[in-house]
Amino acid sequence: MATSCMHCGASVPLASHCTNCGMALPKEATKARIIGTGGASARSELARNRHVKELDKAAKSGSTALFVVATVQLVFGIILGSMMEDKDAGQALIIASVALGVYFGALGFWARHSPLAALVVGLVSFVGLHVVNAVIDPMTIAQGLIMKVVVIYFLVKGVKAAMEAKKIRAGE
Amino acid sequence: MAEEAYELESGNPGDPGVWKFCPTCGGAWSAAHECQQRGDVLVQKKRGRRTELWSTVWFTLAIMGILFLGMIVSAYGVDRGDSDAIFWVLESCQLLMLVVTVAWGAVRWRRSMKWFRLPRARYWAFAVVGGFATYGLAMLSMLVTKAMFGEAVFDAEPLMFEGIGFVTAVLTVAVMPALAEEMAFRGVMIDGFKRELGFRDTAIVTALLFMLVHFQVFSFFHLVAMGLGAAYLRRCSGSLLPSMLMHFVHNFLVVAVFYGGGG
Repeated sequence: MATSCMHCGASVPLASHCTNCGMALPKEATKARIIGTGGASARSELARNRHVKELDKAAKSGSTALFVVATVQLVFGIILGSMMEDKDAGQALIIASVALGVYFGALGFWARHSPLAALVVGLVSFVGLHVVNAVIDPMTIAQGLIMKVVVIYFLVKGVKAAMEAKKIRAGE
Repeated sequence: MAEEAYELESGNPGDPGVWKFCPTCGGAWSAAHECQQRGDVLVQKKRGRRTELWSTVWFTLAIMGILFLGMIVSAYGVDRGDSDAIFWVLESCQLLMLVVTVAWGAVRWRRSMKWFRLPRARYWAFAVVGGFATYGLAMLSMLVTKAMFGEAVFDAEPLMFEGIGFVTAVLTVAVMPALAEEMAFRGVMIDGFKRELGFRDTAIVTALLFMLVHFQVFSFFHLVAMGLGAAYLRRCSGSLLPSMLMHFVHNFLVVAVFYGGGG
């Protein structure tokens, strides 16, 4: 049974060490990880590349969170707006929801190219808007609480990962 | 499960090395920092450096909180038709924002002093032209919005100016935001984000946040244009004064047109 060596990329037989480069191979059913984050950097070029790849993946999850926020804003805003009896208020809600949906969606796309900048704006906007909602109507704090926490978690994680990836790329 | 490898001093005299052990299997890490059992990669833990980006994010949230709170409270004034309440709430918020920003700037006073360097004469001219241009853009977007959604969208503005004189309106609507918002957005935020994001991304970030705190869906284009213009003015002139002038000219035109009968 062959496996791909995580250090040199060669296809080698499954064993404790790579027959090509001699480095340790992960044991069966375990997934090799990067241990230690937060201002950390790997010392070897190979490990650095793997680290950056993992960080990019984490930053991408922040972008996905922005797309989720955009979709929820659009779908629920339009549904709630069209269900309201007061037509003017309904129209205002639809306009605001579409604007926010487009805004967060655009940030999601931007996050694919400039993750750090887009995720910072996304995080500040998301937290800011929900604080406003909470002040206007305190009942909204509990609404979708799990989703809010999950989105903030992924955005913060994404910002941290993007910052770290940037530092490693810059060779700091 | 611990995310970091154990670090143990060997304790043997003459052996200065620090041995690292895998948190999962307990085996020693190789010299190349790979776990010999699992293949996990150990990254060297550095002393965590507090980045300015996070403190700027907190500053931004504080400024947004102050401005949003002002808008929410003044919205109750709009509902009740109470122009005094709108005026005092908005002014208190601007003042609070100025105090927070000045305090922030005072802590980093060496850098903040540069905000007030005298720029070259041409940047004053750019600022005035920019103020007129963004005002034109604002008028254009207002006309389009009115044509699409009716007059009701802009019903708060006349109420805000009700019962106050021209000079007071200029001081509170043109001078105060030009000082407070420019110091916050083009001063503190640009300085705070620039190192991590680079200037281009910082300009976009501050323009988007500037647009967001104004909380006006239909003013998107001119607010973003103004934010970007002010950020580039700050960068090119090396001073905050031209962007303050641009902001002042824009807001002054709003007041002047209203009091001149155009409102």
